[in-house]
Amino acid sequence: MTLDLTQFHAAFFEESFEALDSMESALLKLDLGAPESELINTIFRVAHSIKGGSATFGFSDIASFTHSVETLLDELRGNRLQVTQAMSDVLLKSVDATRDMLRAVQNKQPADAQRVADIQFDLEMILAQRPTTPAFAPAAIATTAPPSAPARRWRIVFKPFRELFERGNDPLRILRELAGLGTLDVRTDIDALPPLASIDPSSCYFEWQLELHSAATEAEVREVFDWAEGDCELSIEILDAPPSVPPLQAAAAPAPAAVAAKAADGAVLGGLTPTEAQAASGVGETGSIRVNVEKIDELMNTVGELVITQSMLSQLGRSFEGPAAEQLRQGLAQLERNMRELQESVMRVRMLPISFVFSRFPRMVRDLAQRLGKQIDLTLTGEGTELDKTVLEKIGDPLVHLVRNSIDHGIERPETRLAAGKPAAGSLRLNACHRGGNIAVEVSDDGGGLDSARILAKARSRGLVGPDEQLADSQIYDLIFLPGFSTAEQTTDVSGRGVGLDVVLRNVKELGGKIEVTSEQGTGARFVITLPLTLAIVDGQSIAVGRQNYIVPLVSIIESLQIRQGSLNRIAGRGEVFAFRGEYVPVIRLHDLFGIESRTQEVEEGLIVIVEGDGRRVGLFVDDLLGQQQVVIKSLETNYGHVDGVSGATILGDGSVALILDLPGIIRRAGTRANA
Amino acid sequence: MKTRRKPAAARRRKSVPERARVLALDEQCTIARAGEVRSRLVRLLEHAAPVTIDAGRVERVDTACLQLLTAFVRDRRSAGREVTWRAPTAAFLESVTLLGLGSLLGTSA
Repeated sequence: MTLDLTQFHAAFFEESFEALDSMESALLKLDLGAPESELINTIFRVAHSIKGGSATFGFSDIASFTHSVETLLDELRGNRLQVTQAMSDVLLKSVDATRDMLRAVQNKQPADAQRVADIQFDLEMILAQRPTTPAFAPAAIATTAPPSAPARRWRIVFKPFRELFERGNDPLRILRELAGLGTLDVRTDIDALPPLASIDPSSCYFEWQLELHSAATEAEVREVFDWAEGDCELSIEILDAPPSVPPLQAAAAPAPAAVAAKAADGAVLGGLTPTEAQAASGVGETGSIRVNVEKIDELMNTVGELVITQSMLSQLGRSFEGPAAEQLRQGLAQLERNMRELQESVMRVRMLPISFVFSRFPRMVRDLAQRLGKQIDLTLTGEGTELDKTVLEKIGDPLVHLVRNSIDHGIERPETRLAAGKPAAGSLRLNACHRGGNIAVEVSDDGGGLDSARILAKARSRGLVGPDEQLADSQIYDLIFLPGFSTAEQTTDVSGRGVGLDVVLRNVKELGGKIEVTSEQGTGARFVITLPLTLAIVDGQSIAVGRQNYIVPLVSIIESLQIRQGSLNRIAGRGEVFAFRGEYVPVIRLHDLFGIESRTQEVEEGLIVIVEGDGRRVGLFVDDLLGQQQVVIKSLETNYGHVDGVSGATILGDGSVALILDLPGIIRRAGTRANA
Repeated sequence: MKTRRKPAAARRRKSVPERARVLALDEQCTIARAGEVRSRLVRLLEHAAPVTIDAGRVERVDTACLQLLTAFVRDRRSAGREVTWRAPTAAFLESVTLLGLGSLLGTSA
């Protein structure tokens, strides 16, 4: 019976990615010179478990690569090598490479083999520098074995199969590792090597007879061939007993112990014992279980339905009369409270701490600072602040942009900082906290701050601001979010191509959030992104147009007002505008837009709702404002299809459907209509 | 076996008299380039004048490429043709030694 291993792939990938994250953060915490052994163990376990898993699943490239990583880590663990800057760089790169390789396998795409080979080479170069470096002597490599254990002579016959190379294995690596265990005598059998012209460059024709003089245990010797297992014929035997055998060992390992390892049978290939596997995969917190997101969404959906049913019942309950009516209403009120609690609990299940996003920054900041020759102290606070998974996934990129921006444009070079009387190392802070129903994420630095004069000059030179127009600082700061705006004197590959901040703003607005900038020249800048905690529920204002109800997200509403007859001005070919606090705001008549019959056409009989979307303001002409309520967003696209100007739908207490307006979409549409 | 049928590439260089040639190995002499290395070696296999392999830039060599070099040296020597080595790097020598190919390739003094 063969076991279908593919069913375990998804879990393996997920666990490996998590493990790599923890490996990365442990690497970043590693002190050069004197590392904590617990950290090294954590890092080692990750490499070991990925190696084991990869070998089991037949991802031999990853197994081979992580084997090299593991070998290096083992040297660190045994204090045979010291952690250097170069080493931690290579190890971090190895994390990236492993991640890429896993992703490539996951997506069934080829990995960047050259890059992997380069890093693997670097790893081996470091390994070659360990004190037990093999000396160059023809075909015999002398190394000093640890003096404690008695040395034995091993005979190893290693006959690779032709396809060994294709599995990403290189016998050189094996021999190099064996040489690291003791004194190695190599005899290469080249009889099988055909004439040059008929050689297949990707086939292995060499075979080896090795003699190893080492104090290593059989398990250690065998481990060297771990990942070539299944791709070679291998026999390992002890040639002679050691001069003085400790009694225990003698009993345990009767010599000669020849074992033919021609194994190819899956599950135990990685050399992972169950306990090791358990220890290695125990990266997640205790007391938590892995749940498919779909299941949570389903639960969320059902709760949404319940909320609707409950509000229908409440509405119905109000019209009841009679002796039991009061009791019914009490029961309904209780139901409403319970519903709200249930809804919140379910939403909390989808909530993840923002540390999932924050965790990428130590690495990024370190790399960027190194590349730009800056010194940066990164402080992360509020990492435990939780927000909805969907929002979390979308906030990552904007934050990356802001952090890059701070490092590239904000924080000065050490010499500039010292000259300005600041410490050489700039400080970059990321903070997250809850504010009402929102989450605020703050990126602040103690760099040069925004130069409002320069920004204004640049905006004037681009014609974005009139020559005589005076702007407040906050208005000037908003200019940097305009597309194509960058004041960096030199564009770098980090930022400064003028793409970035406008994308940040757009992404944040798409999530229903906003960005505030405060800055003081010479002392730093602070960007605060405010986002709703969840995208599943929105605070909405119901509005009536004719016999239809619509929902306008409350965050977009600036003001609602009644206006007098005649205060609407018609501009030829561009629709109607209305003077609102010193600016002209286009007016969109919703009944025109959706082609429905409204109660009134007269402006003084209806209302104008000033809304903001996509950086612009418009006035929506509606019949009436109804109540404000939290609504559960139902996707129209998944349940029906895309409708212009509508971002979703919800079901109101009376069971009727109300469409939720997509304000940026409406504003864009109105703009194109007006320009047409 | 003294027929002098040269590969096409060699025929094109007819105007150049047969003289010692140098083949410089790349920095990365690994399986990714093995096909290319093989064709370059095959082209020089029957070159009558001595061939020098310049290993002065090699940062990394793997078993796949060393196999090709071994076959090249063996095939040429068995036909009585000369192969010499120039300035092999430490990395190259370490790999050759580790694989037990030192005497075979004649890189060890």
